[in-house]
Amino acid sequence: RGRTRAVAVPPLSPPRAVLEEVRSADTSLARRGRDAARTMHSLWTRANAVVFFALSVLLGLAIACSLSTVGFQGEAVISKLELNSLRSLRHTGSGKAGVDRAVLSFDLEADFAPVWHWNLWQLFVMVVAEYDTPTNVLSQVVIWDRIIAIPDSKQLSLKNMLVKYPLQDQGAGLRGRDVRLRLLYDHMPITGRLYMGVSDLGVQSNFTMPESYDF
Amino acid sequence: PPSRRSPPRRPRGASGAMDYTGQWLSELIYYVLCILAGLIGWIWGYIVEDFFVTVAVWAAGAALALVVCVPEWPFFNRNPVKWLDSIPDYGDEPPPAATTAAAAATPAAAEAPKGSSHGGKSGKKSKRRS
Repeated sequence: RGRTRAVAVPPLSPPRAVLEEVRSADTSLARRGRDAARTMHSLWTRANAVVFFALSVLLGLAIACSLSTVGFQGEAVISKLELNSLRSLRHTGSGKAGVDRAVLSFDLEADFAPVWHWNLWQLFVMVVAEYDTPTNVLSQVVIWDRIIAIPDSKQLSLKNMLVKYPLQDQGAGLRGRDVRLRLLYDHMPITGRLYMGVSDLGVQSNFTMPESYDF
Repeated sequence: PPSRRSPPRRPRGASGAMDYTGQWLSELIYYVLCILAGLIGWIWGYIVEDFFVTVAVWAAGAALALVVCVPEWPFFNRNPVKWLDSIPDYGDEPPPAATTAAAAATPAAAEAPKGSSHGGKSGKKSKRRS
């Protein structure tokens, strides 16, 4: 008595007359709009929808750009890559644990314009010294590198360039060794896979290390 | 019973200045603008061999879509929802079961027991009130 209890009330529906009045005022355009997605009620949901749809479109553009360069083959034109002067060849470290280290300078003339396409972000160019020793079948040592980005000049012209990193062996095997200089360039795309380009075997230059330290 | 002239209060977060047709139109416009900006930008970038031209054209199209589709412009409100003046009050009478779709599907024989059960419930309600 005097206390309220929850009563299950059946859901009310408008009388038929009201429903028909509403339906008659309903144009086909309004009905189509109502039947379509009803999810963009607020400013923030609309802004979210527009921004992330636009970003999805950008993703599609990036993938299409990557696919459009799948079959592209361009090779750098390397006119010259050779030793300029060997500055030093020393044995550093103590006794048997020591390593051979050489410092040298080189000349390089290369043109990377044929390599470039619109999906390329940068090229990582490396000068690599290759040789083999009795202990190591093949040694490849990066002695100089540079990044060529989109605004940079695509031509490299280096004269008497000192190496960035010394040519260092894992042991004492540099004396009297035949060393080959090669140019490698890594393609770093805007979208897609990375791949390496290698200089032609005919262009690489060879030189021989002296037979003794402090020549 | 007092009848309200204004439409009932909307739930929080619901925009009142863009009707459903406007929402559909807004969605159509931003689909078209973004995809068109992407296509034009991609072709332009392919021709000049510069992907950042593509990104610039895409960004311009996306900004235009934001300006046109997100704010509640008047042309998005041309088909406003027609609200009833007031919720009908049935009092002690049972609601008309014939207008509901479920009731319309059931045979006429089932309507008699349904009506009596509704009447019984409303009868109970009126008893409680007194």
